[in-house]
Amino acid sequence: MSHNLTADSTLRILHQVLSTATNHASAAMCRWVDSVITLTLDDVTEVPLEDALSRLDVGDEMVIAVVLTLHGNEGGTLLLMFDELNGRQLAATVARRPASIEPKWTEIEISALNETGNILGCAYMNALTKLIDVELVPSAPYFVRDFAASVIEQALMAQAISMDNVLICNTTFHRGDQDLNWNVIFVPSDRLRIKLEATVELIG
Amino acid sequence: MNATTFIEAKSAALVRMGETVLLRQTETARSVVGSCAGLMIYHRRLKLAAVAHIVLPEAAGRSGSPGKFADTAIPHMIDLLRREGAERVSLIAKVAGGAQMFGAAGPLQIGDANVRAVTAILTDFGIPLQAKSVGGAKGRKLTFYSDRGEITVEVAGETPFIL
Amino acid sequence: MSKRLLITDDAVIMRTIIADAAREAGWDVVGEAKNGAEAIEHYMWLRPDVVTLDLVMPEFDGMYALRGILEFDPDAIVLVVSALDQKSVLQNAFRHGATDFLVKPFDKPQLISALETHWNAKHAAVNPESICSHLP
Repeated sequence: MSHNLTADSTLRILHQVLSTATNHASAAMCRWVDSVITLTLDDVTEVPLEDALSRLDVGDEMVIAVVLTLHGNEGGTLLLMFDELNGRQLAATVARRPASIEPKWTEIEISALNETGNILGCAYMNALTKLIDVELVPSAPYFVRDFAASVIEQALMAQAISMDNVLICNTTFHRGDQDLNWNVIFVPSDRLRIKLEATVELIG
Repeated sequence: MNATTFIEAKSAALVRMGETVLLRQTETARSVVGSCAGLMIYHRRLKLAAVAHIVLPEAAGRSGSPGKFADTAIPHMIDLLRREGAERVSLIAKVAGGAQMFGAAGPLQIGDANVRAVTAILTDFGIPLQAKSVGGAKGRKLTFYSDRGEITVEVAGETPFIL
Repeated sequence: MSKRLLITDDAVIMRTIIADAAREAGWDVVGEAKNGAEAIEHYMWLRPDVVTLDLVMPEFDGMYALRGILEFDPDAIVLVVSALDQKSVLQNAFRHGATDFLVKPFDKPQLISALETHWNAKHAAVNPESICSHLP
């Protein structure tokens, strides 16, 4: 199966729909870290697989990522990514202790980030499930510290397995006026993508 | 099949997902892989190497760049090398990548399938697989050297080594 | 009378948050379980008053624990604490005997209120005088 290009109008409506899910995730993050965190859905885009990494502006830099995998027919992968410093700071905020300077991540730091990914990802999926009426239950979160390109490459496989162009949703974070170097990248699987597009076409 | 994805490398060309490059003499290329396979097929005397960033094991009738699938990438690479005067009998291969990045949480065992496909297809073409660094749960940063027929492999947080 | 709590969550940070909040409110945290199988085992020999139960956990998940605990003790008070807030997931949990559902992230007072409500209800059912004696 090779997927045709998604119409611009569909991408626009999809952007609105995913923005709603992003708002739910924003609200959950505010409660979780007890601070005003805003998530903004910057980009819902469809690109040839080859261009995906340059579009997301990632390469061989090291990142911290919490991976949530959606199982079942309508699956996909959601990544919550940070650079080392931002990841450390968020873990410290959640664990309510000073940021660690040890090179090795402690169990509590990893758990704090994993749970953050879980809460954020579930809030996002809870909102999407109201729209498309399927169960979207993510796996237990998985912590990765690796090259950004390697992590995203693996996430893209959810679609690349059957599609030549990949649909990517990229979200950035702000605390007040301050940009946070956190990103959420959502790659719906081929089947979830088809379902989402079919649903928004009905709305449109 | 789309020949435009064949890029002539200058120095340390980035080989993106699904792309193939041809390296001559001292030219180098680089790639970052996770579940994908970085494959180099080279001719030692001619200092000529073809490099592909293979994404999936088989094309199964899909169009797109030949470098994307193991079963189209390998014949394409052999063809590129042959056009430069490298006969198949003198070719040697090395491969790195094919990780399962997200552990049991991952949806697909693509990394392993990529490596198995590359190995089987090289055998079919009678090209020896001289060295490999495959599998595991970590990504790899690769640099390909055509003059030495080597790949340097860097796994995050570990000392790089030569394949 | 001590109020005994068993916490089930694969995330150590979440177990810590729940345990700290519960202890502050006077609960005795008698055990912590990291997955569904541990939750059943701990329940059998600790016999807590209330269990908090995460749903998505590696290997043995919350639904596995819910079935096991309710089979052993049909009157068990199981408070599901999960970030999943999806109709089919909730329905499934209630169908298998969950007492209540608390969505993560929660405020401490929400958690304590849920624990207390169900503890009181259970206690009143077992020993009605204990509640009546507090009435004017």
